[in-house]
Amino acid sequence: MSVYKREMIQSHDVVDSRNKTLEREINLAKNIQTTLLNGEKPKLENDEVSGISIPARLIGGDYFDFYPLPNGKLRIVVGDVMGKGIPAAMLMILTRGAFRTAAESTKGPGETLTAMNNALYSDLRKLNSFVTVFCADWDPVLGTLTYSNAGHSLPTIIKENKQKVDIPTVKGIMLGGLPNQVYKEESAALAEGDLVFIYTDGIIEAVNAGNEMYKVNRLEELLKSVVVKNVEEIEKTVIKDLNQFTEGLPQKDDITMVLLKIGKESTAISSYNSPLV
Amino acid sequence: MLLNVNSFVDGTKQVFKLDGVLDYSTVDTFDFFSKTKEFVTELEVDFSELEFIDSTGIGAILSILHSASSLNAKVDFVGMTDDTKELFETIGVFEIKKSLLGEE
Repeated sequence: MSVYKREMIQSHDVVDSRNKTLEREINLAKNIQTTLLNGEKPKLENDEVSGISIPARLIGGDYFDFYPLPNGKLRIVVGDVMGKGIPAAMLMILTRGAFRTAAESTKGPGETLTAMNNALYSDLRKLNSFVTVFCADWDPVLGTLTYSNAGHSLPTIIKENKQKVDIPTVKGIMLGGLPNQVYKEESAALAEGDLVFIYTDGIIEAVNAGNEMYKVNRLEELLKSVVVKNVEEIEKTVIKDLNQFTEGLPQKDDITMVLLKIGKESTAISSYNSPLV
Repeated sequence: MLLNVNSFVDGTKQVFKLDGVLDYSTVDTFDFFSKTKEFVTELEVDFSELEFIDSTGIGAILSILHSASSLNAKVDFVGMTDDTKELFETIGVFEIKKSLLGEE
């Protein structure tokens, strides 16, 4: 064997070994993200809650989380990091840390977003990135959803009789946009059978072969048709409808949804952690 | 999906006409920084031929706002569809523009 041929084989072996290491590390990163995202869901006495995130690539930049508070409320967050893939996933982990720390020490969703922006602003600015976040506290005793918004779309709320609920709009700048932001809060009273659907834009911007987008109207009509089902069934139906709509085309953006369905009466949350607020 | 950026200078105004899709797959072709002339006092971003913009594309628009702020230049967005306006409103782009460029 010539020296040239031997060097070529050795070079190929090195590249192959590096590719395998990279593939292994990406899979480990995927496992870390999947584990952190799909952690234990809080158990509500009468209400139902669920969430799922499907990255467009191996890992993604969408984020959702539940944080049961010692006052009986459930803090919910859904976030969307600018971009896709590994860079977005790294910032998603940063966002998760900021939320978990802020949720422990802040009284409401507005304060949580302010604390998150204070924690993340300088890093996001340096990286020319940002995160849109919707944060809400569900109070099962009073039946109110108090929410705040950092550049995210508002959730869709459908009543059991298939009517869409128009909740008060609340706007705020995305995390990483400007420093020292104060995020306003609004509240909505919810009743038995109401479905709260919080989502990222990967759902409504999914594109089919005809280059048409899924759009919010289609989502709302679908949710109306399945509102009487339980959250797991609704979640599966949305994913199935998205797959049918896109006809197997590659997913372009990360897809995340969180569902809260209001049960018969006031409930208590079985906390899996006990933050001091 | 492609992005074509037609950039030209008109006096002290620099215009960027965006044509196509400004997203994760095309944003690197939007070489805003090397095309921006230091003497400009006004930047115009023309969205009239833009078909779609995602969060990465919005990140590129924010970079323009930050550059304009350091150049003391004003920025005009023209030809925006209602969907793009609503997206910018939701995310907070107009608020950032006001804050960075001292607009009323």
